[in-house]
This record gives sequence, structure tokens and C-alpha cells, in this order.
Amino acid sequence: MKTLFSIFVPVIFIGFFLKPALPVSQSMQKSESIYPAEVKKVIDGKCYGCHSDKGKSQDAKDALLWDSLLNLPKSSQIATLDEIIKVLNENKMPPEGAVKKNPEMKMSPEEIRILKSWAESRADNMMK
Amino acid sequence: MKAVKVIILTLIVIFIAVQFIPSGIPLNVPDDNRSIANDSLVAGSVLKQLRNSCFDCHSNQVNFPWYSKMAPSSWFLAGHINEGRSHLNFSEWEDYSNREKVRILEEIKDEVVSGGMPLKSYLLIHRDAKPDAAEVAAIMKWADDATAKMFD
Repeated sequence: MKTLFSIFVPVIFIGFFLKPALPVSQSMQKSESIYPAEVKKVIDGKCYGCHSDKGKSQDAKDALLWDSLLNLPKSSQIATLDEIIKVLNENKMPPEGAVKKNPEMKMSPEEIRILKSWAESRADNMMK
Repeated sequence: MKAVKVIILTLIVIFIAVQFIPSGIPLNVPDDNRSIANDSLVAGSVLKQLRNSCFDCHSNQVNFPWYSKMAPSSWFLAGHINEGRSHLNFSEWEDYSNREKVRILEEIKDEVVSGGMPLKSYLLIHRDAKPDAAEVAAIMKWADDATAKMFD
């Protein structure tokens, strides 16, 4: 009994201080293979925390879910891709409040370029 | 009694003073050649519905009501019109790419079917702007048909 106690107490104590992986950079699982690697890296790091089933904001989830984006009907998908391009052009994502809380969420110009050019290319191909 | 007079007088002075603050209401633009109204994409009852329910905030052809010339109501109107035009301006329809038009048509469907648009504050004064079930169905069908034309 004493041995069990001496094992479990430290384990529980250490476990209490261990944190799971950062929620900000959660990773896509289902859609892992359908986004190019560099696009997926940006999505995982800057977008997925809010725009996935695990996100806390219902508005964010209503606007975009990366896991189901590519399964949307053609016109809905083009509309969502165009909205992504629009908010990136207007520097509206990630939202200012989220960046203030987690400065590492701010997108670099290169990350914006990667995500925007992917969205433009996909939407324009679907328009043909 | 004297205090009431002072308060009323102060309010009158404030009311007169705020009339000199620019409201920021955008002017109508006489040249409306690039409007959706000149596009074969929409006509008849749906165009009439768009004019009636949307154009006051989403075009350069606003029917300015009398209270648009008076602060503070003019400030609220300015905010609505400027924000409305920034999201969608039917007067600049031809300037949107086909991709943007697809997005806008999807947004119109979402807003109309959910009752998000016209805004409740607009409907308080413009009761006839609220589309009934048949009009909502007509807008939805028009938006679907118009979207399909974007891929032609």
C-alpha cells in the first residue's frame, strides 16, 4: 500500500503540472493529406484552433471549418475561399484580439501569401 | 420648475450644436451604369425586391428619409450605409469578379433565409421591406440561377 502510494502521488503531482500541446497550434487530422504541406502548416499554426470542431467560437465555426471546406458544394466552397482571400487582404485574420492574447498567432507576410495564393488558385480553378 | 427649463434649454442648445457636426452620410452617385439594375442577371419582381429591401444600404441610390438630414439619426444612417456599401454595393456590381459575385450571391442567400437581412432596425421603419415567404423563395431561386450563370 505504501509502495503504491509512493508511486502514484508523484505521478499525479507531476502530471498536474504537465500541459497538453498548445491549443493554438492544433493539427488537422482528417484532412491531413488534402492541403499542400506549406498551406497545412499555416492553417495548423494560425487558423485551426478556432476554425475546427474544437474551436470555442461558434461564429468562427459557422464561417469556416477547415476539415469540411473541401467537401462543400462548389458555390459554397468558392464563396468561402473568396471570403478567406478577402479577410487576408484586409488583414482581419487572425482577429486582433486573438493576436493580442497570443502574439505568435500573427501571420507573417509570407504565410499570408502562401494561404492566399492557394485559395486564389483553387477558387479560380473551380470557376472554370 | 426652473431646473426643468434649464434642462430643456440645454438639450435644445445641444441638439442645435450637433447639427453642425458632419454626419458622414455618403452622397448618391448619379452615374449608376455599373449597377446590377443594368445587368440582365436580374429583372422584374426580384429587382424590385432588391431595390425595396437592400438598395438603401447596399447601393449608391439611397432613398434618404427626412431624418437623414438631422443628427443624431443621420450618424446612425451614415454608419449603416457606409458599412453596408463596404460589404456589398449593388451599384458597383460590374466591378466585382465572377468569383466575388459567387460569394456575394451565397451571402445573399444566407442572409435572406436566416432573416439576418434586412436589419431589424431598418424593418422597424420600413415594414414593407421584409420579404414574405414567397419573396424569399424567389430571391433564393434567382441567386441559384445567377450563380449558375457565373460558370457559363
